[in-house]
Amino acid sequence: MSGFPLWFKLYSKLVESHIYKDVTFDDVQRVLGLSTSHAKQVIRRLLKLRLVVNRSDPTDKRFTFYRVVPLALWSKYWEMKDELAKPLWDILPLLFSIEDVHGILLLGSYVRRDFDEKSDIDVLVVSDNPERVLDLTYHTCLNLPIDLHACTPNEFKNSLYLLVQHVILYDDGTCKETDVFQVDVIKLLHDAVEGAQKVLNLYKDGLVQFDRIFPAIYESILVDAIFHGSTNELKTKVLEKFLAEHASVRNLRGDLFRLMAAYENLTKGRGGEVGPLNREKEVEIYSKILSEVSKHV
Amino acid sequence: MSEEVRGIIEGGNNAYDRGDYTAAVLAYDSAIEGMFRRYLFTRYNETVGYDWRKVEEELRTKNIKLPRKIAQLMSEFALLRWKAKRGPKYHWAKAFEEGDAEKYKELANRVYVATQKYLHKLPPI
Repeated sequence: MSGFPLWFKLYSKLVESHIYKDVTFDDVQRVLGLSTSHAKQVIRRLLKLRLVVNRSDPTDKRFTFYRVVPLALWSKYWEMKDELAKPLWDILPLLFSIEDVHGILLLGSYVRRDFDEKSDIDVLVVSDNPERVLDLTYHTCLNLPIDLHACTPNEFKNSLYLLVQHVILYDDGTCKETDVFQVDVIKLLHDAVEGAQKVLNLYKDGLVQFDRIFPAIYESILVDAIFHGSTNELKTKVLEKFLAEHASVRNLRGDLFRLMAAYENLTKGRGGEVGPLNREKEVEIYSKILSEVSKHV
Repeated sequence: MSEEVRGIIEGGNNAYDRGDYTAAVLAYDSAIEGMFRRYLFTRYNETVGYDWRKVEEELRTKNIKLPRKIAQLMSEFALLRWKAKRGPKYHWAKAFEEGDAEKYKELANRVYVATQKYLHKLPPI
């Protein structure tokens, strides 16, 4: 390797000995026996190329760890980099530096193209260890408009994620081999209603607030709309589809749209406001919706 | 007002004791968020955004420097919420386990101790 530049020699050594691990600056120095200033210079080069990424320790922000991105995955990243939104430039190499990441998908408003300056980019990571993925990405995403979700390949196979619009950024075969027609929509409906009912009971008792109940109810509405063949996931279109399929709740149209607008304001603006209706009325509306959705279960 | 917060924490404790960890986490989460909001409103007359990862920075732009202890608790809360985004569901209603509920319970109690002097003012939680 005598003819190779130093940064490449360092990278090769790090790949050999420290792949998928957190590496300290001391480790970097030790690999080639570099002086502090020399090692800093070389690591800066690797960070710029994103062959190496850094992350802070969540328990102590003073410490920075480095992680090595495998060359094959780095090439994928480099190929698509120019087509990616800028916030993804930092997160994607970091995800590639984590072992057992099987798939990375984009979801939500960014894919639906109803993205605005206050929206986050929703990213789903399919991994054998979702908790580890969330742990490692927290600090990198701190200042990025990215909302990360993580699930195991098994969870992915029977999830709503498959049925909503998505773009696959990376797949080792796990995502593509999953048959979308095998997804049990009735079970998804059942789970969504069961989950929402639990949150509704807590809401009735004053134990959770509007920002918890509305998304739970919306998940039921979304699965119901998909069950009825909806392919458009714009929130307004989903509500329209739901109302079109359930004549007995059409009179709730105004209230439902008001609740949705309040939720959008809440998540994109100031937190802590109560819902736009009184809790009793909201509970009545949510109960009617869940009772309608339950009819399919 | 702090009775209202205690009530929510008690609700979380009851759910925890009967093994309903999802309900427990949701109640603790609601109590913690409420306590932080009341603390910030009472002490600084501020309402803040929804994303707790960004609140400390948001306040810093308004020349408010949070006490280190509160900033640390807030950061722990943001991390718990971040790590709750795992599993097969797209929106909020996740299934939580005993370990999650334990972490939330502990944090709720620590936030209560740190903020209880400031829980008497609106906004409602």
